[in-house]
Amino acid sequence: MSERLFPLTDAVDILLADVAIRVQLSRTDYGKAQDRYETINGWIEREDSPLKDRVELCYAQGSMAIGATIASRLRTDEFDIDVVAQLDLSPSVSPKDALDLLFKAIRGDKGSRYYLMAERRTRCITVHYADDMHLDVTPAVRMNGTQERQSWIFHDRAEAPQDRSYRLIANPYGFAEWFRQKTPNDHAFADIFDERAREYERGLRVLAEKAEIEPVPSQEPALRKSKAVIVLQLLKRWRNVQYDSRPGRQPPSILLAKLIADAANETTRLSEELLHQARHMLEVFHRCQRDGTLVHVVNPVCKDDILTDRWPGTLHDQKIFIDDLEALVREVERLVRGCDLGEMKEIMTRLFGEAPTGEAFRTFNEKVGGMVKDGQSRHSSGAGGLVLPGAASAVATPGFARETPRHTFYGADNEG
Amino acid sequence: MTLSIREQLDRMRRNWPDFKVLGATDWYVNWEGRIQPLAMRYTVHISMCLGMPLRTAEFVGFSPQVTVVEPLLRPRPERPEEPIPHIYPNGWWPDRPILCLFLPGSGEWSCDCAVAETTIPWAIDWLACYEGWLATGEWAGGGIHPAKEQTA
Repeated sequence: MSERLFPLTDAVDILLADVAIRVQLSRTDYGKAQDRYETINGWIEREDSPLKDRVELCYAQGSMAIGATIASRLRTDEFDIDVVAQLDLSPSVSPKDALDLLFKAIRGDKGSRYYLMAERRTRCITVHYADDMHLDVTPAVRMNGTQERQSWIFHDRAEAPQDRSYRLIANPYGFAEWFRQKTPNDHAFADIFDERAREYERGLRVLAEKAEIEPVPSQEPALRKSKAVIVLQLLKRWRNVQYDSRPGRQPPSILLAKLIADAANETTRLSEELLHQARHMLEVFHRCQRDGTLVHVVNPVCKDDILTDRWPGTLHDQKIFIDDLEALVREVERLVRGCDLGEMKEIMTRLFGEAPTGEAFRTFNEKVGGMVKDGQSRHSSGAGGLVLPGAASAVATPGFARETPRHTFYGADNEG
Repeated sequence: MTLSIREQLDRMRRNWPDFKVLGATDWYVNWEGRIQPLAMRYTVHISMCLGMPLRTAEFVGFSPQVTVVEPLLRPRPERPEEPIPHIYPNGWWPDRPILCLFLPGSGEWSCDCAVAETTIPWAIDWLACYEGWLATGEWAGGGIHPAKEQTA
């Protein structure tokens, strides 16, 4: 029987989780995003708004709805928060009018709070905040007589009026519900991950000399994550790294989310889940490429909501992603097989970028070293493993752990 | 009281049953076995010798010595000239330096200590710190380098 029974007791799993924590939306920012979209909702409905009394619902969609938001840029903590504003407009409203109306309602008059922050985009209005958070508000009109919250959304390029405008059927709410059902969290794992995330964020607040109360309740579902959701965060980060310097579109997050939910939580360890998901994704794309077709994925609760409508555009686009996936599988296989921390860091830097990886390894090394230096280390006999910090604090101390007698390293840098 | 080699062998069998005895006499023993401090599995070799009076001279004993057999310890790829911290050179096998696991004269190790309960757990600590050093360039586990006369 394996001695390592707990979900986050192996170095590779702890470090993967720590990278995911460093790229994800923090609890504080999650609360801030919620406040912001509630404030926007109120603003759109203000007295002199062209949409007064026309907002039926305002709800999170995409990553925010499934708790998988990560920084959208590699080098800065920019977060894109996606929100749907379900509007009481005629189903026949033109895409241009729907988007313009919402833009006007958010922007307000010259001098008002969002005037300089709002940007009209092709399918949404983006509100840019000074702290690099972006709120993408997508106007939607409910399709009556269909499944809950199934709606029309709109596509119109204001800067290219000659391009065709059109409407699309979407049900992001239904997708998020389906995703959550397919990726239920394992409580022990969710607890440990949440505890590590809190510890990291406490450290950040100390650094920033801020001690504000966390605005988000601890049982907030979006912060209690399954392995599959964390793997989704990691794969989105990996995708961002691969596509950072490439022109054109990248595989959309919702496509990754759909493929991950299809094969979710079939493993016990985070690294195994990452490998399992990477292999599953590669298999899906290989199959299409062999058949000479582009991957075509629809929202499982709304077959007219096509998740691959903007990517891949060509078999060449698809092949580039397949090459990335093949490299990913090779790298994660190496992680799962076992390698030293030096090699592990090289691999994870290639996959997830320098900043979160470097910081995760530095922190891990300080904790492990601190434990040894302070005479607090423990080991397991049999496998001869170090009982890692975090593993022991978040779960009951493993019964096989033995205290290591205090000692002091000695020796002279190879000089005798 | 000095633990005999027989007692050392007993404690090893109890705590680390997978370690193989490569050779043992009443005054000398060496083992080889595998430990996995973090994600990498290492084969380590441990030898120790109790002091023993011979007819013409006294054979001086030595405290347990641990070397890494496989995979061999390596420098950091970013700075190959930087020596691996906390090792003694090994005259017999230069690519298998001896791990410096305790402070001589401090009482951390004495002849009444069991290798199974001190040396191996210390080697686990050493290898974990070594891996951290490989990844970050920082030896975070502390220790003393006599040449520098300071705590790392």
